[in-house]
Amino acid sequence: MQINLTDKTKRQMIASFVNGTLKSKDISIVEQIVGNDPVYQSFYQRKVQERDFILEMIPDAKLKLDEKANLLNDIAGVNSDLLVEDIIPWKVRIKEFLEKPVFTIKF
Amino acid sequence: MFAYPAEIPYYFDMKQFQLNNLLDELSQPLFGFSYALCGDREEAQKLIVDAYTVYIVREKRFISGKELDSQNLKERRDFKKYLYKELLGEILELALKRLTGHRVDTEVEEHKCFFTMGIFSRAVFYLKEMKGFTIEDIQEVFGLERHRALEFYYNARQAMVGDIESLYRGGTHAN
Repeated sequence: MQINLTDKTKRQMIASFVNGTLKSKDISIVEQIVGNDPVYQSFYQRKVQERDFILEMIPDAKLKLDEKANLLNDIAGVNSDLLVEDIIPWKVRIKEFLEKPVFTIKF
Repeated sequence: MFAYPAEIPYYFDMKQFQLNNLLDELSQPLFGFSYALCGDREEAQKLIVDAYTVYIVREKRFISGKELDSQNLKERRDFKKYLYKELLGEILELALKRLTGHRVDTEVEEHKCFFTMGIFSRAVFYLKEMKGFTIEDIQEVFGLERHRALEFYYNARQAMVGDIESLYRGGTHAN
């Protein structure tokens, strides 16, 4: 299949492919571009190296098991302290209901 | 008749149970983000709990009224995503108040460059590169205009990989 795209577009598509933002229908086109041309192969490899390099520089900390248990415990504590529903006695609820008029007539 | 187990308090209800479960699933990604902002494990955990508390206090009425249908997976997924984004924004806001001007001393050589950047740049760069957020997602989470989100991202990227790119431009690699 002949691919009629400009050099700039091809490079943008390869960069998107590496970033994971390329549409799935375009993946085969990028594979073809990279597979057929050593210049774009080199460009692709450079982009992959760049991505790996960036990912190495960004910390990606994970919670240890005990830390996770403590954190979830704290969060459950916040939930139980702050999300307690107001418990209204049933007598008060009935009284409130009876005090409200069923309908009103405006003159 | 259904009876609650003894260790569960009488006011236990479905919403708390669902929220605890959602937070269980979100704890790792929230911790990764929080750590990227403060560079300290303990501080990162405190930041999450405090941000969550602030969020619950502010949105108590909304959260209390929210009951997820356990059969509706789409609704659960959407709410989880919503909660994740809300908490990311809350963590960043709290980090900006607490940690502005705070210098992170990391022992990991590779991460030193990352921690020299400002908190906002770190937040945007982490979500974009590590979690695959789009610029639109970042705008939504941090309430930024598009050009501001792009500015933070490209400045951070320039600070991190600017040297490599200039090396490539000067070398024999494809442009």
